[in-house]
Amino acid sequence: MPHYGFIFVYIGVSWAAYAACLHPAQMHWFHFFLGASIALIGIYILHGSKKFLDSAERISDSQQMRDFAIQIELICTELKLVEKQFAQLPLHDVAEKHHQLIETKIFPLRDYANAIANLFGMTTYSDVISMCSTGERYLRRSLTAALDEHSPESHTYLLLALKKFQRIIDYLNLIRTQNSAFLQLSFHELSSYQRDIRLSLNRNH
Amino acid sequence: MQDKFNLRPYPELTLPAIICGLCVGSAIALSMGYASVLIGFSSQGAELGAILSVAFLRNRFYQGSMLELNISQTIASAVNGASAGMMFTLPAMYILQTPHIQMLPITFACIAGAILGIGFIAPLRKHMIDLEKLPFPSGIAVATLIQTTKNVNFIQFSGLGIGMAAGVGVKCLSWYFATNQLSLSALLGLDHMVDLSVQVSLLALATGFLAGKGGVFFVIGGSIASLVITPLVISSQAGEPLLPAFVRDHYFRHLGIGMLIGGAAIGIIGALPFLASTLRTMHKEARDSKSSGNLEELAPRTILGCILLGSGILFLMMHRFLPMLSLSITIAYVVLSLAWIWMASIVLAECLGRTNWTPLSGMTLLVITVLCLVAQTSADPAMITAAISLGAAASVAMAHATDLMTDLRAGYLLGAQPKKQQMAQMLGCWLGPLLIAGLLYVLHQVYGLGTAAMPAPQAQIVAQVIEDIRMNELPISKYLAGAGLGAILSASGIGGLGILTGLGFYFPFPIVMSYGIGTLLHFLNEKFNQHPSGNYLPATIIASGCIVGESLCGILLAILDITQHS
Repeated sequence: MPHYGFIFVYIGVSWAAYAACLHPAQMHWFHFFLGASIALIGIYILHGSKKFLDSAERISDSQQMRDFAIQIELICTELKLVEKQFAQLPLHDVAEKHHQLIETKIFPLRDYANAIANLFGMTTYSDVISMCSTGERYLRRSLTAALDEHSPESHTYLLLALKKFQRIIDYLNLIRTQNSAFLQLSFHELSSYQRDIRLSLNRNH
Repeated sequence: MQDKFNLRPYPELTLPAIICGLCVGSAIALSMGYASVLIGFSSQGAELGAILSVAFLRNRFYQGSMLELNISQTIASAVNGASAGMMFTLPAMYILQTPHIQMLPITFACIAGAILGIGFIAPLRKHMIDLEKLPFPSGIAVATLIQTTKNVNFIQFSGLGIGMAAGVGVKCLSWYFATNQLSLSALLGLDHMVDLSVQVSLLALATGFLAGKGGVFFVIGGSIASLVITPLVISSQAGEPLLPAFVRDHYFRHLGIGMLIGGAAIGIIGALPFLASTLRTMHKEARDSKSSGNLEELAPRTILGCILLGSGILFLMMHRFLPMLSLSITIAYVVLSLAWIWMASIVLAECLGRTNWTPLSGMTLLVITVLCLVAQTSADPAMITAAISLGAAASVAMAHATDLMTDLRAGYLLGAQPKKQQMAQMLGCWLGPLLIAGLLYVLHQVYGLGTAAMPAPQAQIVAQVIEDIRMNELPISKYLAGAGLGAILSASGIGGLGILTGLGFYFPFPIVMSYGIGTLLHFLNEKFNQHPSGNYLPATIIASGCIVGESLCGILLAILDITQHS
């Protein structure tokens, strides 16, 4: 369905642009407006299909939120592990662990952004994604400091990153109690959510 | 041996980094300024700034940290921020021989522009980098380059080397054969209908690769303009047939600029709730960090102070240039300029973030056009001088906005503190206009700007446009049509659709083609290389190397061209 919308938009825009470029100084207004109208029909179709897709996506949004929460828990666990071993690990190993964590666990967090925005609105989306980005930046600083062999800075920012990701968990717990969308998860789903976290943590250990 | 118990604070915004940044930036700004009036060449200089900073800050005598390198690079590119904007516009005053040219107020207007550019874009860091995750391919290249100075691992080190060698090799080949395009339309016998050429540039290809799916609409826009509409326009013309390049320069460029503005205006209106929630989050975080005594970004009060300072200088400059205007009209003129700078800075930063290119010259030309149209209502010829000066200030503002966002993206990947980078940009922004104004004065006194010895090609275009305005030959209808189409595209709700399609209409198709190949490679890489992240993959590092290699080689070849001219 969205493809039809795009086709209409681009046929309309091309038509209107052609009408605008027939002469260096003038343009063919009738054809321009005709093209623009076709593009507007395309926009209407796009919006309609977007609403349809959104309603379809909404079913899986709760599931995605659960996955997001598990992912954050896993990140916190891994950060705690690195923090525990920090004194024993060589700094380049610390950097390598950070690097792996950013690539495999933190980078995919952006895939959950739509689900957060759909379920809880723009402010919550902005708060959560901003906390994720800040946590990632702290971890990158810890990585850079580790590469520069500056142990205190690397450790300080590792702790700050951990704190930031833990704050996301607190925030998610807060909105779970405040927001009806998270409460829509049935009892069965909530217990499976907790079970999934436990399983992931055990696997990680 | 690793210094695990190093008690020295981790160096970031240090005196050696500031001094190194100012010196490196001055050298880059002067050479870029000279190259832009002589051969019309200019570059942001971020990669060059990073390489030179490494040479000065990582040697036998001083072992700077990566964040010091990042700060030095930020300051260097901030100093260079004024070169293109001033050199592309101000020589037009000498070419047109406009009266009342006063370099001192013009220089202060450009410094005000730099402060305003930083002030307007700084609050959008969270929106563009943290939330929208715009790629800023140059930022990725700079961060990779800085990290490689520590020899992170063999893959990263050798990948950057391979990329740089490939970028340098292709650039040298295109320079040696004096061609930067491979024409496929000539082979197919279609060169009178379409410009089906590929830019011989690994930089364009690597940029498309790093930008990824963000650039798809850019490619679609360029393809529609060159492959669909151009043949239709040419075939529908009676009389002498037009060439595809003529159609692009005289038809599509205006339409493309209009689309950028219309698309941006609707995009900004549509994103207002999102921007509001971002600002709320920023405010919340600023409050939290203030209570913990660790502010991450420049405080809103400081940013507001910067904007007020810049606006004040601009107002004083306007008042000095145009004493015959009433106070209310002067204020209205300044407010309009500020609104333009704000919107254009967002547009250009978004273009750079998604594609690594900005229509800086086109936007500068448009602001000068609008100001000259307003100025034409007055009989005083000093209004044209004022319009060009304000255009230069706006151009410097736009250049600083885009430069700061690229640096902040590099800083994000290195874990730098945004506040320190924003301060570094402020520390470097005042020097560029002073240096470039001095260079401009000297070059005009020695060679005469606009002469065969110092042609100033971009300023000639500005002068030509001003002449067109005087002769009433401006295609306003095309700008308006473009704005309408851009607005329609942005109303689709798909991020950047209007801006990117307009950019495709604006840029030469060979660049779009090379960029499109890069985008295709990105999708192939994503399909066959199932990796969640793009930042540290060997392909990404090679692409960063291509950008760095070709940029540096381009600058060296420009210096070679200049020596040949001399």
